[in-house]
Amino acid sequence: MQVSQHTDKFKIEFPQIDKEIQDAQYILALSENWDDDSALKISDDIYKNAALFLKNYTLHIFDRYNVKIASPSINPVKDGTIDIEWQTPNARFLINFRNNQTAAYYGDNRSNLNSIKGRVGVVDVEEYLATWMIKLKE
Amino acid sequence: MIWEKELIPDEDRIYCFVHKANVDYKNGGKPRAAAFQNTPRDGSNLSCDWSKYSTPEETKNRIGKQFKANSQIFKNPNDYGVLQFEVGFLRQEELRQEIEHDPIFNAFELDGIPNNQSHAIIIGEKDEETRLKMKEMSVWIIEAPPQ
Repeated sequence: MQVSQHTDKFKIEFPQIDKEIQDAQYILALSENWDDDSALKISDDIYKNAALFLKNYTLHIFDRYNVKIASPSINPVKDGTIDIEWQTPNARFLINFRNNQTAAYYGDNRSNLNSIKGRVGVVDVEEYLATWMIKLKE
Repeated sequence: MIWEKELIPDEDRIYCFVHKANVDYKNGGKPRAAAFQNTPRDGSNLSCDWSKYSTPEETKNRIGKQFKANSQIFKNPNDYGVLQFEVGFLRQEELRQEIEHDPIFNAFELDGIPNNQSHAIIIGEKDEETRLKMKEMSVWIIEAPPQ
């Protein structure tokens, strides 16, 4: 029941991000060598982790700070990983999901100020990162 | 004939080709940050062409002389756009990249591996910061094909 409510709230409040997550399922259908240059197939787990991270942080930032972050793009990477990338007027942020434990990220306000860089677990929301991601508001 | 390696000045340009699979058509047709991974995927550098010895058009046409990975089928140049970078930008301390001339020459040109005096390599780890900044500073000199 809780999971269903969580999902419904996400779809209602963030239809664009939800659509991006659904649209990105094409990534799972990519076969090896999808870039003609030895790209790897991308696993279901990597996709699920990326989608979970995006949903968790989007909802957390909305619930705690009343901020709606912008819709990102979800992209395949040739090494079998997934990037989620935000480009907003005030900030840019890139996070790469490559395994079940952690993701690597970098963000700034487009002028090397207030930059953030590191690794984060893919399951639990880290408050320091959620606070920084407020810059990605719509 | 063997081409000597030369030093590439900061003020010169390099050209990188980008497959349409790495273009963000939803957001104005910019390259994705994913385009700036090293190749092959576990390699330490990204190939490019030096403007001293290649035009953007020559770079694009040369793609058609390369084999697709793990096959004897040639790549289709029409699947690619060509990006331009200023060499000095890539050598900025924060990006931690080096650009080296790396000409390719075989006396008997091999199928799938064309001779290329302009070939150069962008050496260095392409972490998230580097990829994001490379994307921002790149300029299409030949637009990517329509989706």
